[in-house]
Amino acid sequence: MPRTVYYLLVALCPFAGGCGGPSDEFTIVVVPKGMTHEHWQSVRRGAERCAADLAAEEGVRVRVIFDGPLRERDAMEQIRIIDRRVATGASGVLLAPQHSKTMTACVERAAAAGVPVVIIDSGLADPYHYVKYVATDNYHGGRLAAEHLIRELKKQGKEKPRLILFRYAVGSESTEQREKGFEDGVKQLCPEAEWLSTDKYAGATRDSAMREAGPLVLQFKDQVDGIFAPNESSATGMVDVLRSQGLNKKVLVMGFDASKPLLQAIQEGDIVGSILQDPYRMGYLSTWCCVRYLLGEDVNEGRTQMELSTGEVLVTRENVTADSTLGLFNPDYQGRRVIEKPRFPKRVAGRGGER
Amino acid sequence: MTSLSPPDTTASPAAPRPSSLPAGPWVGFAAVLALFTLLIGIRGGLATFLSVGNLEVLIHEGTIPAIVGLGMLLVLISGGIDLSVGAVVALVTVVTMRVYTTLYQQWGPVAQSSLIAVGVGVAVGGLCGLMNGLLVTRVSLPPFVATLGMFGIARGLAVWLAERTTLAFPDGATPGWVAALAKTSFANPGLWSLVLLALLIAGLLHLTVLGRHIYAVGSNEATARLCGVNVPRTKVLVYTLSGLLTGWAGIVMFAHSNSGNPTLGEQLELDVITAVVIGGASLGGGKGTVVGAVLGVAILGLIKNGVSLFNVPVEMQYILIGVLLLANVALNRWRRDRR
Repeated sequence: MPRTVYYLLVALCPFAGGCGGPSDEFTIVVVPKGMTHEHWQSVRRGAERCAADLAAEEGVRVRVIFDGPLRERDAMEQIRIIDRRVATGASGVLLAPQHSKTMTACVERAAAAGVPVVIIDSGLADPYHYVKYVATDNYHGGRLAAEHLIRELKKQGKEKPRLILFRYAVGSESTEQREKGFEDGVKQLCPEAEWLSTDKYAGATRDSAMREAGPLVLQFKDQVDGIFAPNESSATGMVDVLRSQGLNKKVLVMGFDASKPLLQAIQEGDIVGSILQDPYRMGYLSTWCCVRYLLGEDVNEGRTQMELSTGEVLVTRENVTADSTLGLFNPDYQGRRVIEKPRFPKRVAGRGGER
Repeated sequence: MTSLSPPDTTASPAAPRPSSLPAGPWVGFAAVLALFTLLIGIRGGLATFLSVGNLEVLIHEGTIPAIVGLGMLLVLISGGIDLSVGAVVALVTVVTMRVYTTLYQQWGPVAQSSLIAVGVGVAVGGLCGLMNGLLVTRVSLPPFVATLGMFGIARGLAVWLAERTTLAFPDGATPGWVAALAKTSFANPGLWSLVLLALLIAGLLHLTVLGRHIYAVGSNEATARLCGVNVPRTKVLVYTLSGLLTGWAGIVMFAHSNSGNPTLGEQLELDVITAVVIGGASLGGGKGTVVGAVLGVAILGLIKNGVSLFNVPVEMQYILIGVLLLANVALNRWRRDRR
């Protein structure tokens, strides 16, 4: 047995390298929805950049820990991580909740333990226990998508376009907001547009999107003019199907979010545009708000300004390779960005504290 | 070993253990604890790792696998295996939420809604266990196949009943007991239910006739039958008990996750089997103790916790658990063969 212990020790030795530095003033734990998606890596880089800026500009030492569930969509593991980190000395938590309702209880527990939580990316149903909500305005993003798609269709002379809204999933708050924004945008800009289908759901992956999109495209291929797919996997899945049926470029597809294949499709003209989020800014600003709160500032104006939008950017063939677009996801370009930081007043006693 | 070592069974006396070496699970536990204490000590942050808060976290996270582990222990001792537990836990959370929500909408926030929902939840677990037992005895399916089938059925039912989403409580309808079960604390009723259940199962295994029969069936089924043990009845009871325990674990999971979620408990069965086997149970049957099973869960929890706090890539925990499992079973083999 001592030999087994010895081997185990040897196996772990590489990890024992970096010794603990000077003790940190604040430990901020970033809890994404999953670890693998590029979106969360941008959030992480934004948070780390904010910590570096805080140290350089004000001498505030912040340690950022990135700790999320290995599998995307594992709400239970997120709850575990929050409880674990709160019990072991986190100063603040940035959480991208898997589910707007089931995550409420652990946020409440964190608040009760005096650990401020900043919600990022997706909403939380209980607004009383977090200190700030830093996210993309998905509804506005949906409207931007509608504006661009209608504009492009009108360029082609289609004044009464026939549209498909290819939804993402039931109960996914962020994409439902995009879909609603898109529907409202179309109704306002082009009330005579005809909806061919608004009740098909792409599901979680590109594969499931392809399975759903196949029959849909077959059914409406002679009628459809434009399609909105509210996230990366639904957009790429839809484009794959259109390509296989030779309908790409004939049917205009509007997407949301970015990935290598999706950006490539924009360059090739198979997708007319996509709305990109700014996860780097999201990570930066949420860390900023959390630290300002910990420094005793009123980051939400006495709980009246809970939301902070991080902006949505329309990316088309024209600007897909521009520096400003690359700065949204490319680590090198991100590092060169300068993020404007909101300033907050000092917190007055009895105002702005968590309940 | 401990005061809870299995008594000699009627069918075949348990092999005497070499008393010169401390028992496997204890060594494993001490080794993992020492390892992480050392590693985290080098890095700094030992005060966090060995804090009361972290101990509470460890126990809290271990409650569900430990309760399921008690059931799995019974099944493994009887020579079977149960692959359906993770899916059954998910099914229980979904059914409990469905029943609770329906009753809440009719009666409002009364204690009866909670009681009935919990009762139905545990009963669903027990029913799945009973089905497993009947498939193994009446239909003579190998336990691996029978419970693999149940695994699929339960998971599918859970997803169907939840309509492919996560079910949350209606606004403001979260009952107090759910919050109490979800809180990380030594006063958590879920933890105390585990202590009680562990004592009950230990008592069952070591003080009752049924307990002796379970060991006998697992050691040598033919001999047990010749000695007059009702093998099918014993097995059905074992699987049903395991199902009821899994049902109760499902209720705890329901509270911890604050939801009815059909994707919960993925790979729970493998975690639990790993834990119970590290704790000295054998897939061949006839061996295993409650203390060992609980220690096995503690070892796994310690690894996950240490890896998480040590900020090691998460992948490392799987490798460590794998290595530990192999080392532990190999050690047991080696010690047995040396005699």
